[in-house]
Amino acid sequence: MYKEEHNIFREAFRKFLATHVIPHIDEWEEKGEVPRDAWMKMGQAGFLCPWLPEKYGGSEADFLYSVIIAEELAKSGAVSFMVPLHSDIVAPYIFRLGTERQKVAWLPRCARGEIILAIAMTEPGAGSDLAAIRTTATLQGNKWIINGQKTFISNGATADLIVVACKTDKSVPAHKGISLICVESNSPGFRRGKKLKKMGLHAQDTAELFFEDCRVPEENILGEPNKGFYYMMEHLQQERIIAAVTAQAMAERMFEITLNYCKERAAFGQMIGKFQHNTFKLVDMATEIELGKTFLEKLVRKHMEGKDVAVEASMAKSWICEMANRVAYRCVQLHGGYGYMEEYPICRFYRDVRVFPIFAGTTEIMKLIIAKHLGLA
Amino acid sequence: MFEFMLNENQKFLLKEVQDFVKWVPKSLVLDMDSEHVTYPRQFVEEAGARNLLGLRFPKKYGGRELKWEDEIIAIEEIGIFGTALACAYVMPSIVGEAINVFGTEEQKEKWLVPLIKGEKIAAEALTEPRGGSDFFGTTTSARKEGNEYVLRGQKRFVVGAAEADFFLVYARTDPKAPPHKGISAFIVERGPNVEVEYLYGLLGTRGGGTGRLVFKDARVPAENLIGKENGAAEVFYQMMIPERLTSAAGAIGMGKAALEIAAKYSDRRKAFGEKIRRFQGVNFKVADSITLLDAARGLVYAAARSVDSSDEPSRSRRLVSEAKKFATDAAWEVINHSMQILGGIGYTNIFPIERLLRDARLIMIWTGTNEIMNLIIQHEFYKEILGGALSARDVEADAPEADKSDEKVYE
Repeated sequence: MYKEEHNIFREAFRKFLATHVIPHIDEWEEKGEVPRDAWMKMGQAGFLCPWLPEKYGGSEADFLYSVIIAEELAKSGAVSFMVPLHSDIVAPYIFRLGTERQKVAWLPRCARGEIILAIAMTEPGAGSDLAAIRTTATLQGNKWIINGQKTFISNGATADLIVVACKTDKSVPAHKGISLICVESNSPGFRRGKKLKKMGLHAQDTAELFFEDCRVPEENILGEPNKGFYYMMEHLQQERIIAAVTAQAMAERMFEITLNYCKERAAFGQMIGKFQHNTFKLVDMATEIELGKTFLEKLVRKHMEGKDVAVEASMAKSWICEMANRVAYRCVQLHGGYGYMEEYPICRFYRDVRVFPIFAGTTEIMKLIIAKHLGLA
Repeated sequence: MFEFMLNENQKFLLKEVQDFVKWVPKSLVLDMDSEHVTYPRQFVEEAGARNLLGLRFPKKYGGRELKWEDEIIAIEEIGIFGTALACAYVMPSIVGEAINVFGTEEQKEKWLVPLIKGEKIAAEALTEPRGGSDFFGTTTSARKEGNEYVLRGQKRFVVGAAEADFFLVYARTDPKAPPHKGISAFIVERGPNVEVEYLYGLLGTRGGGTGRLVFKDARVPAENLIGKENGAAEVFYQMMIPERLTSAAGAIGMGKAALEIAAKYSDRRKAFGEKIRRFQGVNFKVADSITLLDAARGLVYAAARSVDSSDEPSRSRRLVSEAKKFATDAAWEVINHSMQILGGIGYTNIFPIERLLRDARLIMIWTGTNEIMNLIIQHEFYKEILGGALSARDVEADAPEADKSDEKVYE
């Protein structure tokens, strides 16, 4: 699947990470935020939204470039620098649904890192049950008036432009009355709440957002009114693939670190990897990781061919994210007491990976989607 | 513990412990996790003042002469705070065991009494940078010089070290002897040439005083030897019981706390128009979780009774190891299920589950990893079975062709 140019790109991105990202991760984790400067550097080097057409600031790269960026960030322990959310999850909404004016206004700045993107779906009372959102938007003159609250919004504390799911028609069933409206962070009535403290992904700013008679221009709506739920369902496919790609890369990296550790560390007079219990654990992990990789490659290929892979994406998202957690658990165990120390990278991987079976649709929601396909729900 | 299994005295003890649990300020729990407090000394003092430390030890040293069957009731209750406070609570019971079983009268007066009162803090220094599971590979050395031993070496992952007034230390006294015949146990007081450094940056169990120790020719009076010179193997084997029974009982409390939060949450939180507890994806997780906890509790109780009744030491060892393995695995799984039931909010510090999950990751590692438990369990079980502990009838014979001995090929 990967060609020479992909490999060259991967090498270049690795070098970039080694210079501009990896040396700073601990500091960003401590601060709970990735500084804007890092986004700008990513933009300048062409690592933000590389898939965009040139006229919007991209280089028309195929989806594999996005996969490479997500994988390498994850492998370098920088999973909390949530670039894929910006480039491959939110930017596509604007590109596919936006008007020419919206695209020209926002996309080149997204590619340069001047605008950081977020998407606001989840609310305190609506996570898995997305149709239950209560944030409303009503048209008054040529302005949308938005009222409500969103939570767990990744990039929420730094984002400049947020795609907000709002109820625009209360008279119809919930999923037929939702619209997507772009809110710029300087809009009147928009306020960020506190940054949420989480078990992991510390550098990734997760925030609450408040809309109190927040006013944005009418033309900030994305696509057609009341079709937001369907738009989200369409775009969630790529979001889940990206989540699976990231979890898979984390599993691969955790395994690599642990395998090395098991070859170096000795106990009872031999390397610990040679005790059959540990050997079999490592073998099981290698096997599960290979299965995930194979499945994911096929899925990425089909996704790139433009096929509907909603069911396989759900399978990959749930299985691979759970698998990555099994891998994390076992890798910590193989490290023993050291695995519990933050100075060992496996410790942070363990904290960071726990959210993968929760965000972008919980494992349980993925199973409901698959069940529907099987005629069971 | 199951309340219907408790006698009146145990019910009273439970009540006393619950009163103590209510006394613990929330700020202490939070300040420890954020490492503004690096050891809960006040908590230990209060437990001592309430006569809740070292419950098993003789009354003449300040204990209550209770049994493990009683002590696990208290530990489960304290376990709801997570590992750091629970460990501070059980440490007198762990280090006290060595002093109570192997110590001289003077040693008991000097060390055990203030430990039970909560006036002195102790820690057990066993793990070294080079290894934890491989105890008999200990490289810390103690060289005898006149009336003193001179200790040199390093210990790490010593919970409680940051505040401990004295340590139970294992060190090699005879480098030429086989590994298990050349190690001795000592009480080492905090002092010059005993460097203690608090370890920041643990995944969990924060504020529990975990630290590293460096002995740079630390001089220890010969009277601080616990048990016989080169006899630490005996101490170590004895210590497995309090270390692992306390880990097991505390784990149940952690699981209980998380499951309580998740069950309440699932009865209030709605999705798709229903309380989420109506979905089998949620309520079966709850069913699995409470079953695990109850099974763990039963096993911990059986292990405690085995030790209390001076059962065969090998069976006690097996049951204690099983209890440690099963209860810690169960607790982690229950807490992990609980986080999943809460979803995204469970990953944040709005609920304590993320702290419990970080704490819980340690319990499959400390006081002997669960892999080490498996080593012991299979070893003791084989000994039992191959030693003739078989069923009342020949179960192998209950097959139609059982008498065809030609078919039973073993080599």
